[in-house]
Order: sequence, then C-alpha cells, then structure tokens
Amino acid sequence: MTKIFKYTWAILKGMGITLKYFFIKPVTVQYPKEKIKISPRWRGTLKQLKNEKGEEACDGCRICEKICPVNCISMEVYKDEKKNRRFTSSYTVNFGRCMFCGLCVEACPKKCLVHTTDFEFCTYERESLILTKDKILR
Amino acid sequence: MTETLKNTGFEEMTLNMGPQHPSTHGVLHLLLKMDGEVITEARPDIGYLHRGMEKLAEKRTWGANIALSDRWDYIASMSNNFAAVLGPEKLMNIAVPKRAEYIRIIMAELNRIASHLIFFGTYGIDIGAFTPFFYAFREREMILDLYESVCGARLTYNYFRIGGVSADLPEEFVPGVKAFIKYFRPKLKEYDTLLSTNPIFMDRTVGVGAISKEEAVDWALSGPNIRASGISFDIRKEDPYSVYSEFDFNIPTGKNGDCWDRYMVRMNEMSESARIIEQALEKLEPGDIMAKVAKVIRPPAGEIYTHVEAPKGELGVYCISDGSTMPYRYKVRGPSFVNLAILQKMLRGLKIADVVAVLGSIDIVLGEVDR
Repeated sequence: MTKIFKYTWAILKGMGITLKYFFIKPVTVQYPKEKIKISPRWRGTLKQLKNEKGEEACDGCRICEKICPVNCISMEVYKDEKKNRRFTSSYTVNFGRCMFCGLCVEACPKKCLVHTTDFEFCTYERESLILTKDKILR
Repeated sequence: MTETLKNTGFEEMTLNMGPQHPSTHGVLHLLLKMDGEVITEARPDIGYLHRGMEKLAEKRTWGANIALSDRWDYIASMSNNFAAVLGPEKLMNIAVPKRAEYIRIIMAELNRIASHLIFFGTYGIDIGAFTPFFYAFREREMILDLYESVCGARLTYNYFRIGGVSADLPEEFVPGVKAFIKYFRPKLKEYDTLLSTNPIFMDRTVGVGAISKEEAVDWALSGPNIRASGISFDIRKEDPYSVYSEFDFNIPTGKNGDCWDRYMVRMNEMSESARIIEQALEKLEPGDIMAKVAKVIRPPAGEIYTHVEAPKGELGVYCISDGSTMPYRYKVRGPSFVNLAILQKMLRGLKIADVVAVLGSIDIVLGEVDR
C-alpha cells in the first residue's frame, strides 16, 4: 500500500514539472513556416566570388582540389597570355561527395571560395548535386 | 513437457536482437541464447557501420584526418578532434597558445554535457520514460547553437587544427556560454526529480548489471563505466593533457557499478563539466589562437600514443609517422568498442527485459564501435 502511494507521488512530482512547462512558450520551431536564424559562419554550399572588375577571382591554383579529403572538387585551368594570369575553364563540385568540412575555404589563398548559409539542398536526382562553374560562380 | 523440449534440443532459443532495434542505439546486432526468459549466452555482432576509418586515414593528410575524426563518435566530435590533434602536435613539438588551449577545453567540456544529455534522454526512453528525452534535447540544442556560431556546423565540427583552433570565438559566444550554464544548473535538479530518484526507474536499474572493481579492470573499461564501479580513473587527472591540470574539479564515482550508478556518475559529471567551463571562461584572455605551423604538415618520423578523456571513456590515437604528409598507421582506441565487450559477461543470467537497461547504461555509439 505504501508502495502504491510512493509510486503515485513520484509520478505526480514529475507531472508537476511537465505542467510547469505547459504554460511556457514552446521552444519548437514550426520549420517550413518559420526558420531559425543561421549563423553567418554556417558551412553550407560553396560559392566563388568575383573580383572588383567583375571577372572571376579564382586563378586556378588547385589548392582546394588537393586539400579536399573526399576529392569532390575538380577543375581545368588555362593560361590567358593577354591578361597574364590563369583562369579556370571548368570548376565542378560534386556535393554528393562533399562533407562540408570547410578545408577548401580555409586554404583558398585568394579568399574567393566561400561558404553560403544555404542549408536546404535536396534534390530528386544525384546528377543535380554536381554543380558546374555557372552555378558556383555567383 | 520440459523433458521433451530438452531431449529434442528445443529448450534453448536463439533470439536476434537488432540490427534494426530502436533501443540498440544504432546498428548493433545481439545474438541472445535464451532459456525461457533468462539469457544464457549473449554475443554482440558488430560491423554494420564499418567505414574503414583507420585505412582511410592512411591516405589522407594529417589535417584532413581531423575532418574524418568527426565521424568516429559523432555525438562528441570535439573530443575526437582533440584526440586527433594531440598526436601530431607532440611529434612536431608545437606549443599551442594559451587562448586556444582554453577554447579547446571549453569546447570539449560542452561536448561532454551534450553527449551525457543524449545518454540521459535515450536512457529514459530505454527504460520507458519519454519526457526526459525532450528536455535533454532542448538543452542540447542550445549547445549546438553555440557550436554553430563558432565553427559553422552542428554535428561534424572540424574545429581543431594542428597548432590551435580554426576560428576565434565570436562576440556572443562567451555571454552565451555563461547564460547556458546559469540556465542549465537548475535543470539538473529537475532531471533528478523526473528520473534519477523516481522509484519506478530505480526498480529497473538499481542492482541490475553490476560490475565489480576487478571485472571493470579486467575488461579494460574506461570512462563513466569504470568510475561507477568505484575506481577513480580519469585521464584528465591521471595523465593530464592540454591544461587540465590547472582546473579544480572532482571525479564522481559510484559504489556498486550497477546501471543506476553508471547513470548517476554521468549526471554528476555534467555539473563538474559546468564547473570546468566556468573556470576556463575566467582564464580566457585575448591572444593568438594558432601557433606558427607550416602549411604542409610533415611530422618527423616516429610513433606516439595520445589519449583524451572522451565522454564515453579513454579515446586514444596511436599514430606512426614516416615523415610524409600522411600518417603511416593510424590506430584508434574507441572507448565504446572496448566497453561493449563486457556486455557478453553482464547479460548472462539476466532477464530479457533487462537487456535494454544494461545496453543503454554502458552508453555506446556505433559509429565509434565500428569506425
């Protein structure tokens, strides 16, 4: 008999705590309707920046390609004799492989490869996870 | 009737538990031999999440291995990062700046709280109490928000670098941690009311799956599991790495080594971690966060074993360098893997209803068991 009382009392005490939270504003976020604020440091998809002249800033040094632990970046480089610098003729990132470690962004000497705060990145086909230069250079 | 069963060999039954059982915390497969409701033999079958991390590490640079280390124990990645950077740092004799050391400790201890909160929540579910899960994840979410503001990821942080940390703390981080600690301390009392002292919970856990001191040493347990048996073994005290020797904290221990003791040790550890974080925040001063390290990391040839006290136990990395940019051998001693081995001894003689209580109390993560 005392046991029943003890167990009931323990349950009531627990219920007391849950009841307290019943009157407090809920902490859950109703996702598609409201969104939480993403930190500016968020490691989302990759983006290449343009320089002040409006042309691509990347000079194809291939450091991001080499440092990537999962080999998801590939590029082709050519040299423009007139401007006396290198350009990339293609720059492809396979986001199906990417693990968003951020090593490429950290290593970029021109600081032209950056993360976006984009996190909604799902598609129906695997092919659309492979982003080419026209989508990355924004 | 029993005679017929015995003669025909049908009395013992083999029961496959998992790998898709929700209470096995992932993809653990338990082969249970049962005599009625009593377990006569238990054999954990692992390997469903094997990714070959140690072999992968031999073909990755030392820096890239930190990113891979996030995937061992994926709910305590900061501790994994810690273990991954200590080895090359010692080989190359890098002195990490003071600020980076304190930042590392704040991160590792916050991660200990986060990992133990997951244990608290999921153990409640294993036993049959659902409410603690929501409360634990509500608090854990705050820690993840703090991590997100620092390193930009919520689970695979990749924050430590050889020689320091990757980014300095943002402005809102220190007040955020202080506010979290202030908010978190009273919650621990709430957890005690909800679960720790609940008589129904205690009936299920007190005296179940006891490990004696000798057994705990024999099976090389570490972390909260060995401390619950009454042995005060903590690498932060025994072999202090980083700047842990500067901090004042206690090591909570249990007495009987049963499920409830293992649970309580973790609950007490959370408040100790909060104490360490408070002390580290006081000592935090502006300064460098990275030592001067060459861009291409080539540790001199040699071998080294470094270990840290991860939330689950002793996480050690034994690495051999041949002087190139990649490790020659990279062996990881995962605490979950070693702690899981004692399950086959503990389960023998228990009822089937206690399997989940015992398995939950040793707190494994399958990502680290299989690697």
